[in-house]
Amino acid sequence: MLQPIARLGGRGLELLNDIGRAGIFLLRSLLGIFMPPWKIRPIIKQVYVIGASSFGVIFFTGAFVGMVLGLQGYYTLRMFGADSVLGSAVALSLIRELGPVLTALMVTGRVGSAICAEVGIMRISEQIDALECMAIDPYRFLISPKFVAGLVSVPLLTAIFNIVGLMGGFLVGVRLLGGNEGAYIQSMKSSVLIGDIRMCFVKSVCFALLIIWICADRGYWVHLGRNGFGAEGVSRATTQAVVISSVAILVADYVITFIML
Amino acid sequence: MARKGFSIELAVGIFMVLGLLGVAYMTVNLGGVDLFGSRYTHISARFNTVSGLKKGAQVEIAGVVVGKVDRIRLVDDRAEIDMLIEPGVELQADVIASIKTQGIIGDKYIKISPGGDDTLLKDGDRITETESAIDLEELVSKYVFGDV
Amino acid sequence: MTDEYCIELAGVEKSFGAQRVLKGVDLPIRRGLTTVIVGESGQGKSVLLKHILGLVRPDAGRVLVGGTDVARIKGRRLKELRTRFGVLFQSAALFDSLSVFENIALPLRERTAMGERQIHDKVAATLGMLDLGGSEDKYPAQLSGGMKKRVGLARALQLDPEILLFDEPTTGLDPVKSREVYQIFHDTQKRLGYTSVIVSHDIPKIFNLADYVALLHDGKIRICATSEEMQRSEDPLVKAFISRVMGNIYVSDIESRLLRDQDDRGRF
Repeated sequence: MLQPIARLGGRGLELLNDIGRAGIFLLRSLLGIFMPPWKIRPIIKQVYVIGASSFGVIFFTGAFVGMVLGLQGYYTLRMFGADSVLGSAVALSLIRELGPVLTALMVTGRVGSAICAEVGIMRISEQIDALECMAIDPYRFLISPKFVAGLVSVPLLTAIFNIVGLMGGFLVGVRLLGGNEGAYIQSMKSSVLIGDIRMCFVKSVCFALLIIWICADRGYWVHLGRNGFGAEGVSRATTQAVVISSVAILVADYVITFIML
Repeated sequence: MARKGFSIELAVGIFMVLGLLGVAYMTVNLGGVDLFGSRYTHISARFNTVSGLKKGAQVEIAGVVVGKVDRIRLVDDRAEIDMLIEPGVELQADVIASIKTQGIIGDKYIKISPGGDDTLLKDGDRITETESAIDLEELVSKYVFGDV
Repeated sequence: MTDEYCIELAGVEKSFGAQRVLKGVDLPIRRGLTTVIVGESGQGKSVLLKHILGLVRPDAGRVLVGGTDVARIKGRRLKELRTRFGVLFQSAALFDSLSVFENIALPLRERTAMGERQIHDKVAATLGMLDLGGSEDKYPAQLSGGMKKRVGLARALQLDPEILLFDEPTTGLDPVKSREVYQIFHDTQKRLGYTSVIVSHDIPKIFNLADYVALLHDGKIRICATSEEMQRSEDPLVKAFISRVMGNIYVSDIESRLLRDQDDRGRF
């Protein structure tokens, strides 16, 4: 009779334990950024992995999201005779919402999973233990460069996504469907305020932190989880990491929008 | 190895340049952040009501966009707006600022009708002649209750 | 603590959840010699090793390394203590994204203020000693199992450790390769004079290498003696253990005959 309740309590304690560990993980990784010796090469390498190699994905998703916004927006707004504000509709939805969120989701899928798997494999193949035995702080050595690179790359990817999206929207809304070119650009420029840009970058920085945090944390503690051991544990942890960080991104998006609007 | 390192660095460099250009375009061109000090003329105006007018709304003279609304606040129970007017645009002291609507449900914007005065408005001056937004509801009720 | 012992475990207990893995391990490890910890798999041999390194903290008991209780210190002091260890992990634990040279140079680059040139010389010397010349630019994935172990050993030796720990050094190696690995242990120890602790289930071959053999059974050290003493032990459990691995000794005789044949044909 009481057993299910006890089991629930057990799960609750476990969750609390996980969250506390993740908090310490974040703290130690962020502190690691400021601990010498500082090396630029690992960071460059991670910016390559997280940022530069995601360029293609971000470019295409950005372009098509912008184009579909142009298409949908044009036909919807024309019903109200308001197709002159197409530029502002596309720009605001891209900059405030779709740019940061979709970029973060793409990065989660493309990079977050890879980070989790990489760290997880390093854990199960004792590479992290080896680092500790060499008295090299694994947080500083492995995780901190990923945080720096993520915090640099994701906002830049978001900016690229937005610009490409705006061009895509322009291409469809103006060049393809024959909307008014001047009205598009004018309404885009006049409706986008510095507050929107700020919100865009606050969001992308927060999302970057969430992605790296959740994915690296899941990989780092893969041996403690109930996921099982070895390769199977890593694969489950990776799936879990992607799901958790995707959900976390959407929740954080709501919270940030609520606070900043 | 050396060649590989070079290509990674090159890729990262190109990526960062593109990204920063994007950031720069967004903040400077779209967000309206002025990197080189304010080139705009600040002009304010008071209205009885600015209902529906938003920050960033356009300011037009003869249908040409010459600036935008920078700030809206309440002063002495009236609405005071600050406008940023593009450089090179001359406003006479007796211009009339009125709030208009683009189409029936379109955005509100500020229309400035040129005046004939010799003195020009300077940075920080206020437009004295204003015309608030036409309130459709009020208009209808006035008509119904026979005030007109 | 006398000079004779450099590591001393006393009453070490550890449980994982409901499972009691170590139930009071007492084990002295003598300076400059080779101690082998044997036992069936799943008896907690690797856990014991992790206790020595301070990677796992005991529930009870003390782990003294050079007079310091590893379980009671942390942070900087634990770091300093760890620099006295070199570890060769079961899977060699090489970093996949680094080349052989970078792997071996890592502890030097991270832990010392040595210049690139000095590092290069030191790594090259180790590579030569372990017969690894020419594979500096390879990546771990391109190496055979035996080579990985040698690279792992090379990395473990970089900071001139007093104590080397080996976790199942011959797992996944064929008999020829594992004999080679043991030969290298033997040679480097002779040359560098470190204390070595080997965890293994590869019993017969390891008997020749070991100065002391400790049998871990049911969470405790059943016996810790020289290999000859152990083989003559009257303890029924030790006897049973020895006789169970006798079959392997028979196999290993055939192996060594095979090896001799190969040597005759000029293996290298």
